[in-house]
Amino acid sequence: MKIGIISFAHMHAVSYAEHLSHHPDVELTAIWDEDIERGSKMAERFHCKYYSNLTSFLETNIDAVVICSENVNHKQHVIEAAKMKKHILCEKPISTEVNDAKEMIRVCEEEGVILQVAFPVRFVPAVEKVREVVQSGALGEIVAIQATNHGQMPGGWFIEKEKSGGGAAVDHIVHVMDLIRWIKKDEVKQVYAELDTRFYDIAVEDCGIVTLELESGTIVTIDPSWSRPSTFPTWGDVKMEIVGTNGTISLDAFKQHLVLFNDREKRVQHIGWGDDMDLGLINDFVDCVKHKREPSITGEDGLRTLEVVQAAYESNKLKQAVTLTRI
Amino acid sequence: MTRIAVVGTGTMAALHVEEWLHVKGCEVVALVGRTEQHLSNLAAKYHVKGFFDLEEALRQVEIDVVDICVPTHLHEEVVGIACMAKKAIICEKPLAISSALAKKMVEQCAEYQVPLYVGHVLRFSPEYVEAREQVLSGAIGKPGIMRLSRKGPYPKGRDDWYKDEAKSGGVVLDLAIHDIDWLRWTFGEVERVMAKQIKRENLDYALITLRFQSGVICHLDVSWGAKSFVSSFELAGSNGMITYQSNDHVPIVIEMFNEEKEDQERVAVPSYIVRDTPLKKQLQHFMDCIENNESPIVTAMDAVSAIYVAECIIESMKSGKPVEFYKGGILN
Repeated sequence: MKIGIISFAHMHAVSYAEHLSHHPDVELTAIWDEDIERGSKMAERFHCKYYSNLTSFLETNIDAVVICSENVNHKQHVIEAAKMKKHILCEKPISTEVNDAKEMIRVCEEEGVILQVAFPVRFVPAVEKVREVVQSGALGEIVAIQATNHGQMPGGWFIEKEKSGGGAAVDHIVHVMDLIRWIKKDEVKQVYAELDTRFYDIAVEDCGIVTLELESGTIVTIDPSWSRPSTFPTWGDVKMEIVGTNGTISLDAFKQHLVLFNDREKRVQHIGWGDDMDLGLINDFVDCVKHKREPSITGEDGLRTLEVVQAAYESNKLKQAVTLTRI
Repeated sequence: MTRIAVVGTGTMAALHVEEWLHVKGCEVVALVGRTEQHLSNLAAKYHVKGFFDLEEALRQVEIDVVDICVPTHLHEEVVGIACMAKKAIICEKPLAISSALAKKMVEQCAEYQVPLYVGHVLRFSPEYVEAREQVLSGAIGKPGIMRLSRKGPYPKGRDDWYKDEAKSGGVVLDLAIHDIDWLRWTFGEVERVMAKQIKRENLDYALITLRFQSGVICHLDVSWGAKSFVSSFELAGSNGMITYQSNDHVPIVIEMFNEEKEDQERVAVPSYIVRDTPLKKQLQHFMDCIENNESPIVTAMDAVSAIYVAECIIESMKSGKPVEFYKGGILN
């Protein structure tokens, strides 16, 4: 199977490209990038052809594309790829606007191509285990969840609203929101958010707390803040505490790490040794394309998480709780 | 020698009586309780005279300070008696079941010119004191977002009084009040709160967001229903972050082989090892204040304000809406 990559704007593209190029059933044949220098460099690194023209790229005989462009460009790239009958793995968030996400899903359906959204954290074995335990009913009724997806401030286009659609809320609500929906098989009923820019002199929010109530009545908070200092030993975290009527399960998705006291860089660093979640995601996507099956993470999964982000912005503006309307 | 009457014979009263032994210049001269067995046990252990009611104790023994360790809903009555008798008052937190009542008690104490000290013990806990000083000295830069957590087993008070919100106020008024007071002490006044709560048999769990007037955002979670006690905080700002988790800073761990053997002596070490416990420091501070007629680092109005914040949190949990603090109102 031949696969191409649309843009290396998002740094995850490098990791995806690595895994694609090592996959026995995959040939990474083409890269398109708006940035000629970045694109050619990556094409050289992964031994494939660079295209500066998106139409020529999509006219090649690739079966699928991985889209890692800036958030705001996801819509255009997904729709163009779908119209050329390419299966799609799209970096999260699916889009920056709920209506755009709906259109993307519709076009992919019409064209009969797979649209998978990249929520790699689902492929952390400990996360799978948490889902198994929760769904087994061993914890009883799940009544409360508190989750964090902290990070360091990423900079670059992530803090340019016209490219990213927003700051920490856009970047970090969706991962844990997806996990909660996936683990709990539940949807969001009500959203409240306090968002602010308190850490950096930037034009998007860098911290906040989102409070949710799910359809089942489960109460949830999500902390998506870019609050990790630059000296923090790793990029951030994904943590969850899930409270049931019979017990509690706590997850630290990246707890499997060594601690390196690095004198050369004058800092302490975490060196992860757990299973590579990006590899799990890529393997799943390739398998999905190969067997033409329903993706394990659908466009709708992307849409539902984006609805929460949009409601969080609305709530923060109104200083009121917002009831979610799903269409 | 300052003479103290401890009112109550529960867990907190027992802790207070023990700590009073280590506070300079004072002596517990009376213990007041309603349950005969608990009263006689505690009185015998510390060789103190026991009484069934405070008024009787005040008639029979010379008392300077009344130390109140009874369930929250009974504070008002005991404060009233101590006021009439013109005795200095130390009262466990929360001062009262509502801010209106707490304010009335403060006013009553002022009227009778009786000093009132409320035990918000985090102000004497070295990890919280140090963290606050670091924040105020600029160690984390501009304060951004805070996460605090406090969890413990469902408390088993006498007659299950903790379960009755009319008596204890539940997990927010009884437990979150610690962090609320520390947060106000460190970050100033609250502007808005949003909170959600889950209540089940033996589980009282709350997720709280506080927005301060300074802009600081704080996430506070509290639980009655955890297996063991644990508290933690993470204070993040523009130039750094301070973290603490009570389980991560235990200096001694003892593991005995064959502990199940009955003939082997059990070795128990506390997890929190300090020369002076926070409670002792608190009682000593109140003692010093009484002696020198000084105002304490935690005023009675601080105690009222913390209750007011807790009330707003509870209101938000009930209404499902954020609650804005208004200027004026009960606190002015």
